[in-house]
Amino acid sequence: MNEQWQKALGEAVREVFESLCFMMPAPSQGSLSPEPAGVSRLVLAVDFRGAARGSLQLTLPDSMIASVASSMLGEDGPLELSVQYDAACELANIVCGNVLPRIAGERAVFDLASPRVIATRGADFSDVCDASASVLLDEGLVCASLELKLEAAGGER
Amino acid sequence: MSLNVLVVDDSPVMRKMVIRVLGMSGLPIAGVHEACQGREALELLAREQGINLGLFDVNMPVLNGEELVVQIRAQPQTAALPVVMVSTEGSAERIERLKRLGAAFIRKPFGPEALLDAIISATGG
Repeated sequence: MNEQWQKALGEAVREVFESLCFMMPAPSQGSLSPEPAGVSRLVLAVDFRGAARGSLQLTLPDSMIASVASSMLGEDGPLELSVQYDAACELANIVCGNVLPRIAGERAVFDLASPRVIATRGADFSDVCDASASVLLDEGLVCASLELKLEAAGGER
Repeated sequence: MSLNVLVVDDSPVMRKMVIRVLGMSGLPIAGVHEACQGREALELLAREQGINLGLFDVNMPVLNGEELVVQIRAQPQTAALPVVMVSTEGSAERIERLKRLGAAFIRKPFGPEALLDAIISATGG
């Protein structure tokens, strides 16, 4: 895995969750413990092309989605599930838009596809991606993974 | 002067977020209109009088934000409309293109202060 991309991914996840959802990293980032089995997680994907092509995936516990949406929209009351999912999709979109310039540079141009909900599954992408990052927030564990191929660099990974 | 704002984004959630942050900016807001893509925004601008600020997403179906600004600048009635482009993806190249079209740019995520700065930049203070 590319360590620089991994660092960029972790920073983007932390910054976006902090500024959009007011969710801060838990103090003990150094010792991420595995979540209990059976924690249901939402997996979101954002495909992109341009200076690089690939896909970003963001997973978060189902239990976190309602508070993410409430924080983003400033709503105290219950939100419809479709609104919660839309908010989570926007969050993934913004993470993607923030990590790509960190990797490909500020002049790189990207087209991001509409974010989509893929599935619910476990959080371990380490065997299938170029970079992954896990950020433990007070509200739960957020994981992001990135598959990316730089077009201008002749397929460098 | 109170602002009569047109918010254009294909995501209802993002429109709501933009309007929320706008409300937190401290600016006097007289009204807010919403459209989900550029074509609808043009129709709304032709129909509604007094819109004096546009907050547009870049990536939208049918007519994207950049194409929308080009069309707005081409119409005498709307050519001088102050516009802030709100986008997830903000390459330097795209920002320069938008500046040449007379639009300010702000990258998501953003807070009230950053939005206020962008609006001041778009309206010329």
